[in-house]
Amino acid sequence: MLVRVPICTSFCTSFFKVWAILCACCFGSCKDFKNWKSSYSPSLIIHFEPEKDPVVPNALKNLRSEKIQKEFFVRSPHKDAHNQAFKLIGTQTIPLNPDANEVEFTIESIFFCQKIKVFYERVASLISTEAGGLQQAYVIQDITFGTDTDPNDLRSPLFTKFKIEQPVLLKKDKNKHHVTLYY
Amino acid sequence: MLRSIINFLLFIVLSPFFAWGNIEKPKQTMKPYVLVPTTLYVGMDVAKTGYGWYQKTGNAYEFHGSIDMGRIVWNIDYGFGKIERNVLKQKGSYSHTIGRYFRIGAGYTFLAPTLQHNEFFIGLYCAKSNFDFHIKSDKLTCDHAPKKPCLPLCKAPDSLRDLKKSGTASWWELVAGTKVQLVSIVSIGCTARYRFAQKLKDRKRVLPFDLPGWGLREDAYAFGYSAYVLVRVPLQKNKLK
Repeated sequence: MLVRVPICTSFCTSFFKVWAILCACCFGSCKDFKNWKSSYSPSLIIHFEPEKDPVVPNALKNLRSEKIQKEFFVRSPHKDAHNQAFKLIGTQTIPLNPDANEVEFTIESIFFCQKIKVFYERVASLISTEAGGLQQAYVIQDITFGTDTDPNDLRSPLFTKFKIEQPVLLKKDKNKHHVTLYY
Repeated sequence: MLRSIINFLLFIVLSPFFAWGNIEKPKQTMKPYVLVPTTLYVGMDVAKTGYGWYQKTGNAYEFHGSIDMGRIVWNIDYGFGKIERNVLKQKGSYSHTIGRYFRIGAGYTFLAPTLQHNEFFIGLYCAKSNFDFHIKSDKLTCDHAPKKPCLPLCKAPDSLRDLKKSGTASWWELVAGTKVQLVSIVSIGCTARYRFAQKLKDRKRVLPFDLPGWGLREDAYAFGYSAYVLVRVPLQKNKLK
């Protein structure tokens, strides 16, 4: 037999209040369709790091890594006409092609040369019909290392392995790198 | 016109408070057979249809059915329709989603059964939606001030300007609602919904802007509401205590 108890009545009263507030929120709240910005970044941030010895902490795996650290490199193609030389310490930002699923670039110096191909998947969506238009999320799938096909080019390859740290490129991660390349 | 719609929605929302006197002090309570269904409710969500009509996003309909066995209420909802946002000429973007969804779940009513079969319940629903969508835009990540002209970077590549796909989504809903007798066998009901755990089956290539039954796809969770007009069908002979 179902019995009405006083606690049930007070519970119902408070629940009605919560429910009414919820409904009021639903009626009152709406998305601002004119102020939407994409949360996805179209640029890949690559971090370079020497490969560490797996046994000895903080020690480099080989002397070649130390030599690479001191060398200056250039990246091609580069959007900047004055492509400045850089050391393989820290990060480099690579713009991705919104109309393709891969981007290829070369990092080279007098003694080293490496072609790097980054494969990614693009997922399109609408930011808002009122502002922003479309946005694309880039999801990093794979990275391959190649060498120059010219037989006369005797320069050594640079990188040994890679690690995808953040597969989806988000704007909020602008201070974080997405991929680490080890040399 | 807007004032009339707001007044109507406010009436729907506040209706349980008007009826609270009847719920609080029922003069006649029923002694139902709890293993046999007592009441069947069949109705339509007028808020869903009204919202689509007022926002000019297209026709949308949702039907509701529920059956109670003592304090346990079994619910099923079926909705269909389209959500269209066409500002192609003004803003260069277009989104069209058409599909259907259903929700199934159980709730617990806190009110003792009365002759009016009023209910105040909380419950958990599982929902699934199947849909086709179409998005178009000539802009790509265009986030400058609205009055400034678009940069070459804002121009979407041809491969992205017209995208179509089908999809399936599922989610869960926590609900709190009420059903109150209006006249004779006609009742009205309101349900507030908290939608969560949205899962889109295929997240490759292109994603929809709206999900039928959910709202904006980008939201990780969403609040919603339904305002029902219901027909009550008693399934047991009213037995007074």
